[in-house]
Amino acid sequence: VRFALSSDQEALRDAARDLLGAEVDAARLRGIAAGHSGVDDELWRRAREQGWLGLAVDPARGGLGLGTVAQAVVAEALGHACGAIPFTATAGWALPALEAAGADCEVGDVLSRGLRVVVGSDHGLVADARGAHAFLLIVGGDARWYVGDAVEVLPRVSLDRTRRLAEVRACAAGTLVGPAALAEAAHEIERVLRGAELVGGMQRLLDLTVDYARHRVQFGRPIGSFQAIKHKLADMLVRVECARSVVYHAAWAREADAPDARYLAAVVATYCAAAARFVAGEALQVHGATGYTWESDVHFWYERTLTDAALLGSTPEEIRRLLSLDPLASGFVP
Amino acid sequence: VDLGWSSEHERFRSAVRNWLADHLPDELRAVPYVSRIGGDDDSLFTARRVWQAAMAAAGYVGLTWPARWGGQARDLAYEVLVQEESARIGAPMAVNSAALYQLAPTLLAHGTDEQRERYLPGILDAREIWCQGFSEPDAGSDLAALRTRAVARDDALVVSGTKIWTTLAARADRMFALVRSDPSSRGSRGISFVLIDMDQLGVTVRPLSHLGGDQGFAEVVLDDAIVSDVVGARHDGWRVATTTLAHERAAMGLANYVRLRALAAELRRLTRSRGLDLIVGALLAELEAFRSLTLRSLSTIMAGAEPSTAEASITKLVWSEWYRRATDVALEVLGPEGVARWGRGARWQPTFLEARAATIYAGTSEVQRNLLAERVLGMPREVRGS
Repeated sequence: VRFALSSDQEALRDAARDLLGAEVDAARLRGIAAGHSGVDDELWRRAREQGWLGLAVDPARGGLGLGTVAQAVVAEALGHACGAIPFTATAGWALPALEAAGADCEVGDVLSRGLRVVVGSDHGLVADARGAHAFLLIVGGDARWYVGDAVEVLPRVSLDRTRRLAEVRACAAGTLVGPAALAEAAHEIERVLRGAELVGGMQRLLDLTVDYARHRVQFGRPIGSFQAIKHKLADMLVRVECARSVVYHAAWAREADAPDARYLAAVVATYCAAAARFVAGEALQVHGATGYTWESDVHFWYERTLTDAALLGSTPEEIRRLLSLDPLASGFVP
Repeated sequence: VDLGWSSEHERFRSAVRNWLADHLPDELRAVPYVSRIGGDDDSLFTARRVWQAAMAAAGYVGLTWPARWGGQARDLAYEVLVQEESARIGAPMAVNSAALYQLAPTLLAHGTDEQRERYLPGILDAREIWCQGFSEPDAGSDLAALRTRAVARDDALVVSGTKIWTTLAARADRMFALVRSDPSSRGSRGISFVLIDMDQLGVTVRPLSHLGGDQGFAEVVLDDAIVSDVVGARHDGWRVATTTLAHERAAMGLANYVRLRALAAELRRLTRSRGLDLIVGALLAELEAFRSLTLRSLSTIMAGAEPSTAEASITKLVWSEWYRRATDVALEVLGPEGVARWGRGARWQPTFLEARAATIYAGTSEVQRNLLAERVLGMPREVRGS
């Protein structure tokens, strides 16, 4: 039983942190938020250079052949920085689906041209569609591949201006990739990576809130000396650590093909979405009026967290899905 | 990250599982409690004592202890596997658990060989039952405010004061206790970790009834009670008592997961088709995230490190609060039957009541949150009175 990252995974994490620390700051996020697509083109270029897109792709297809844990390491760092790129959609959903379908040509295109790919249903709401180069869409019972103008993207104003939603409509037949079930299977990986992004985001919200509670003085004392605030911070910490534990557990289960991999991905969806909403809400509350304004940076992570939580789960459908996968559903028999 | 068990661990697990299935007596199956303070009557207590002796004889107790003291010097995963399999089959926790998981590691870390030889065998097979004398009427969460005094008389150390909320006190043969040995000291300094025979004139046990109905719970009045041993250096008892605590707490995490997982499955059956899917599903996800957390703590210990304050406090906080909320749901669903002592009330009510204790003993939820905020997140310490 070994929870710690391997030295390679640690090196990947440190490199990701360094790169994101150097690239992304509040000014950058403000620029992206005010921009045309809400996607950070420059960060995407750096992500390509780092080989992040192909981390888990088979080396025979031009990838690095690492696993879901390595992807989770990068996703967590992205969440911590509030990086505005569709890494999880491209590397955690589209590419595994294309690989499973044996769509080598499309996989090669994504890696060599650095295509941003988003996944969703025809006529559905999809995140980061505005800046996408290609689309993997569920149309009827099929998963189909579309490039560029073959999909009409109708922006829908939404909470996070660095992860915007849009309605997508296929205007051509596209290329048949395989049955829709292929995309559903790959969706399991997306859940884990979306959870990892949320872990990074929750950690950042906790960091910001701890820092604020230490320095904000009211009634002659830092507000972090009051139990009412301490207990909120402790409850945030508990959720961050439980979420981190289950995300890496689920990532390992996925790459080790453990029997409970699907169940753990469903746990990630339900737990991390609820935990993230809690952490975001408490972060905002502790920051008081300051945090409610855009003068403070908290709102970037608040908006991102609520958006990713909404994309991830804890909807009634996700919770029922979790219950249906419960290995003890038929009742515990000692 | 590799959270799988080795084939050696898996072989051991199936051996334990088979042994338990063959040997666990019927009256001990599915005792409806999760933690250690079951409301045992005399016959159940005796059965648990005999059961621990049988487990010890089979080599399933004290697995991590050095061979010299009756153990097998195995890594902590083996202890966890025994706990998990015991929980899975519905067996109760070891009756002498305070001694096994608190005193024994303390003796191994800080005791003398003479003390180890004298006490460890009786702890292992439950021949001698121990209780923990920490809390006092005016020193609960603020344990370092304890006032029970130890003074030297002739060649011995004698203690006077009151210990309270002491689990198993009415049944115990011995007590390990924290007492103030330096009368001029305050706070955590000047405290000694002492061992006291319960069967002596200076010890009076006054039973306390409680919500869970445990007949062993008591207040213990010490009046010049003679100390048989001091563990570690005199006045160094606080350090002696706290060095091994985190380790043991983290190790119990996985066993608690298995017991609570069984409860979650029962809760699903109880709430079926009552439109509570969203509540039960959210609880289930929380419990599974807790399982991942306990695997992480286990991996910390197996890598040779002490688990952090964060891991130990989060573990305690998460499982006890989960236990409380899950049993809240059960009683709400049952309506009047939940407060009755028959039917499904007889099943759920004791569990519900035990969960009320779980968020209080071994550090209340509020104390755990303070610890996390102050020691892990670096918030300013509480303002303390004089």
